Formats: sequence, structure tokens, C-alpha cells
Amino acid sequence: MVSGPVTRLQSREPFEGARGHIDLDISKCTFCMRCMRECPSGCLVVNRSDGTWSVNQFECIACGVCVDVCAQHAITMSRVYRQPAYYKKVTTYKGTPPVKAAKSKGQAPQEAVNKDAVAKEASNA
Amino acid sequence: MPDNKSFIPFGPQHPVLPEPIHLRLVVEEETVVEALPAVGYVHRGLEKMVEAKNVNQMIYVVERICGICSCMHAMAYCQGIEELMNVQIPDRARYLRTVWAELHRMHSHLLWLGLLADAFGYESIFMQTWRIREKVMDILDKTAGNRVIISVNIIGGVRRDIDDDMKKWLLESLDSIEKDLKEIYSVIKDDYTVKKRTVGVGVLTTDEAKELGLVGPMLRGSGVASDIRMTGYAAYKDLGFEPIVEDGGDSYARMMVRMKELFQSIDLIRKALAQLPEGELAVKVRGNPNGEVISRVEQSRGEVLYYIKADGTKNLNRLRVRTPTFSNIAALFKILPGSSLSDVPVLVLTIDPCISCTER
Repeated sequence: MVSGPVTRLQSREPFEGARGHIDLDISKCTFCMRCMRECPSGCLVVNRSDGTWSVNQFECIACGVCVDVCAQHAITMSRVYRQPAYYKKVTTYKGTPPVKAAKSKGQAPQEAVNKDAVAKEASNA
Repeated sequence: MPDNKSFIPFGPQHPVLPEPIHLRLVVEEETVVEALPAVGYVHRGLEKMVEAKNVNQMIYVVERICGICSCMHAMAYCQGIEELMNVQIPDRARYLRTVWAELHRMHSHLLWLGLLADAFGYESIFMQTWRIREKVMDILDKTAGNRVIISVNIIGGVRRDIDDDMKKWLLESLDSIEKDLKEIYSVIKDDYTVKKRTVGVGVLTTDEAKELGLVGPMLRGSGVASDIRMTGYAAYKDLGFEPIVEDGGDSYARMMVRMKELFQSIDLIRKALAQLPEGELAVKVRGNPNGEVISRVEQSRGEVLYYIKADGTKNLNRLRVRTPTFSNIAALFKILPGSSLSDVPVLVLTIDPCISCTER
């Protein structure tokens, strides 16, 4: 029982599968809004008309429900806890939501794909 | 004052209290005559959130009622909703829920033991028990992703798995925890000062315990063999569970019940992992619940009772949680009058108060 100090002087690496914070791959998102409906803390705001997907990292409880329900596996959980900051930040990603092509007589309907996705961060003080 | 009474506030901030409760002690020359409570410091109104969150989102709210017994709150809630919707969860999920629940019981009893030792002034034992508790926290972190609020229960099963490498590592960690626990057990159980301060302090006879409606280790320390795990929810009916009972009814008996339950939890986890069946982790559940149900689970402090009323929409109608400390606080107002002022920290801690459970 008495055998020297037991305090770690540096924090250890987080284990595999630890729940830190979430990241999004915007090129896979189809803006179905399932993650926003299932989120228990209400930190995800998805806007299909603008094509923006934003998460408030400081309200996120890292439960992992959005990771489980996303059908395209666009959201991933990272091991590292979110970084401390002076101001609360909302992380916004901008992508292109899929557009339903108009069907007209004699023409085959075309499917639009997400391309040219750009990720940018906006900070709110 | 004409008589010798004075008021001493055993305030919301006190070194031995894990959570804030206010007791106004009426003291007459070092003997406590009466205790007047004032509660409400941690009331968050969590039962009202059923109006805002739907049935699945409520799991994450219910987990956060208490940090120490959080997985067992979620388990009771999920068991109630599964019974309402007639869902049978897979066998592997039942066993995994048992493993995580017993791990929570272990870390709760280790926390309590540290606080009790600190209440006597034994700071080294406080640090040593919490050092052992850190190993349990590492197990929870590795298997479930988080140290305290593990979020593994969902309606229909569990979300995470314990594979074979993790199982081997878990069993090795349990061996080292058991070795350290045996040293602490042999130090505490025969120590002269610990016995002087706990034997004969806060005695509750069997009849008094049944009349006050106590639950958990307080009931089992007074000679009543009652434990909700005997009804066989989750995987307990396959593991051959017997409750631990002590006669005596004083703080020493309750301390021995909790320490022996620590060793029993380690055995239960080993048995559950040896018998872990193969299979899926969860079944898909569709639709909304309808009806009312009561579900009971043995948490580390006693029996918790969940009353759930649903009406077929995606929000529940009513959720009522009767936590174990709510029942055990009645004992506090029976054992405090007539005790000496220096015994008050030991008496308050012997009921294992979890005030954030009591005032959701």
C-alpha cells in the first residue's frame, strides 16, 4: 500500500473509443436532419435551404447519438476532448444539399451530387 | 436564552458532505436535541423535462440525475419502457448491463468508504480508496467511453460491446483491485478507533427499520434480507445472487455490509463475464409506448422506483422517480436526536446521502 507516489505527472492518452468531440465530413451529408431531431441537448442546427450544418461544441454532451443515427456515416467521434477557448464557438460547415431535379416530358431526370464542399469556421463572441 | 439550547448550522457547505443539504441542529450542551432540515439546493426540475424531450432523449436526461448511480437510473428507465412496449432484449445485452451496473456499485461504495474515513480524520485511507476507485474509472473509460456518465443503455439493449481483449484486461484489473481492497479491508475492520466511533452509534432495530421504510444497506445492516436483485432483473437470476445481511443495526454493521458488497460485486462481474453469451447487442424498437408501468432496480444506495405513464405520443405523460436516499432520510431524523455533536458527521454519512438523487 505504501510504495511511492501514484500521481501521474502527465495525463495519459485517451483510450480507443473514448468520447471527446464530434467532427463532420460535409461531403457525405445529405441534409436529412435526422441528427438534429435525435440530439438530446439541441446543439446541432441544420439548415437545408442555406446548406449549413453547425454544432455548438460547448453544449454538446458527446453522447454519440448523432454518430449512430447518421445513415451516411458522416459524423465521427474523436478521442480528444474539445479544446478550451476564451469564447464559446459554434462550428459551421457549408455544403450543398441535394437538389430534386424537375421532371419534364421526354427528359430523363438528373441526380445532383454534393460537390465543392467548403468547411469554414465562424466564431460567435 | 433562558434554556441551554443553541442552533448550529450543519450547512450546505461542509467538509464531509458530498452534496449540499442544510440541517439546523438544536444543541443542548453537546447533545443534539432536534434537527430541522432545509432542502432544495440541487433541485433542477428534471421530471418536468418529459414535456420537452421525447422518449429516447429522456434517457440522457435521466442518466444525469446522479453522477454516482447514473447507469442504474438509465437501466431502470429502459427496463420500464421495454416492459411497456413488450420488447425482449438479447441475452448479451442483459449480461453487459449487469457488468456495468456492478462496476457502478463498486465505485459508489469505494467513494462512500473514502468519505467515511475522512469523516473520522483518516485522510490516508480516503486517498487510498479513491486511488483504487481510479482503477474502476479506467475500466469504465476503456469499455464505455467515459468515466462517469457512460450512456450505454438504450431502449432495446446496449450500445457498446466488450470484446475478448477488453475482457482479459478487465479481469486483470479486477484482480489488482481485489488485492488492494483486501489490504484496506483488513485495516479498517479491526481498527480500535474505527470500532469506537461506529459500534453502537445510530442503532436502528429491525422493527424500526421496517417501520421507517428504509431501503438498501441500511435495511440489510439491521437484519432484514431484502434486495431487489433477488427478483432477477437483468442477468441476476442466472448468477445465483444472495443478499448480504448483518445484525447489529449500528454504523459498524452498515459499513461491513457495504464492504462485503464490494467483494460480492467483483465475484458477480467475474461470473457474468465467464457466462457472457454471444448474440446481438440491441433490438430495433419502433413506435411509441402506451400505458403505465413501475420498474425497480437495486442501486448502490437502495431500491429506486420508476413510475412511467405514457399515452402513445412521442412525449411521456409523467415520470416519477423515488430514489433510495429519499426513503433513508427519514432514518436521519430518528437517529440524530440524542446523539453527541461529534457523532453527527458519521451519522449523516452512514445513510449514504445522495442529495442530487433526492431532489431531482
